[in-house]
Amino acid sequence: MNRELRVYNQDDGLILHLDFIADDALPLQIVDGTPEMQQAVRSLFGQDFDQTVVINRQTRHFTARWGEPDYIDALAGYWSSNFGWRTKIIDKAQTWAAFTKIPVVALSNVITADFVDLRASRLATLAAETGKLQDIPDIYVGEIADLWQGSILESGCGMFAEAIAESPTVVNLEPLQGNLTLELSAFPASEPFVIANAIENNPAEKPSQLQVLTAA
Amino acid sequence: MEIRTFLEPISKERLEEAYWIDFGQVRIELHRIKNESTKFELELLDNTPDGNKLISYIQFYTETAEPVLDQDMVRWLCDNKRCCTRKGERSRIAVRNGLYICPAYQRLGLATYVYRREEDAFREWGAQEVHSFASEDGRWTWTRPRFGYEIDDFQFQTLLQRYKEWQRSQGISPIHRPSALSEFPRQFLLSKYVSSLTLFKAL
Repeated sequence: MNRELRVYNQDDGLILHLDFIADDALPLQIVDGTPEMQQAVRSLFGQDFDQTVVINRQTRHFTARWGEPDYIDALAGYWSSNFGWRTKIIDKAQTWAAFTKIPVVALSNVITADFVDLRASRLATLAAETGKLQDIPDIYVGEIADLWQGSILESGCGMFAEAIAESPTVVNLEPLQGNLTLELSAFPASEPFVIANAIENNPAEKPSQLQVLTAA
Repeated sequence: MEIRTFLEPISKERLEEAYWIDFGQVRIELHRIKNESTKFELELLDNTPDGNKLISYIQFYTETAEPVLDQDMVRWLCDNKRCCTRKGERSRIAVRNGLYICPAYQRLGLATYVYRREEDAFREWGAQEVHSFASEDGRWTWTRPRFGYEIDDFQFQTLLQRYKEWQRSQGISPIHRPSALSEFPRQFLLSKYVSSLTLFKAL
């Protein structure tokens, strides 16, 4: 089950909005927040949560394993206990119906620090649902090192890129001069990354362009 | 697991020795403490989220059986707790669960004395870090640079957010953004805006 956490300060201002995506390579995803709160969350990526609050000489421990759904509860409990912030957790059932489109913007061919993590299976599912991807060439994914060394994933394997950031808002997915680019939610540089590049009708060749994908 | 095995390479006696007062090293007001009356009790818990955990309960008494601490001083020795100085790693870690000294014995250097001696024992046991929960006046005292404690980036960034809110509530402008724990002002750290901090340092 996917979950959502919103944190409000004493003026009821929203200072952080997180999504928890179960079984995702990056389960904790920042939707919005102040720079400080976003950085606080980024500092946790990949780490178990282990914080303690002392109130009236009584200790309360908030612990959770990275990737577990109760990570959200531990975060909320820590912040509300230590700072008095109001927190709201929403448990969301994941549906495919919302993903009829995907934001698509080609940014540049220069590799920057912003990468997105892509996985294989969902794009095929999206294609089936939207009917828009029938003519899309195969998209190959891999780490930068692999691509630079020419060890692209098996040609003709038909792997498709899958958006990890499953935002309920979606966009048109359209071919762009034979190359398909996907714009997904941005992740900070510390995140694991892949580069996705569409190679039309020539899957065995090294891509001539490496396209960086970031969020709208 | 037996306590003796858990404590290797040190002994229970070595750990207890950390809480004996050397009267040549403390102020005369603390000479009322009677070492023979010091409470030192141990409890070993197996398979906690922090590995095996040895809990120590310590209390000092004067020659007239008066307690020196408001409540037992509690210490943990954990053999598989998450490190703060090395992300992603777990190790032997010592944890201080507060030290609340009775008013009559405050500001006599007892905490500094005890902390130094127990850190030696923790280090000999093999603890890589000591974690300490700072509350009440400790939010200011133990965050002074001379004690060498830090907070992790998660707490620091959260503290920045809270400090920003505190400054606005105080009508402070422009907003000051500290770059280190020691730069947060006393008035903020001791306010209701922050209940406690988890400090750590490498041993």
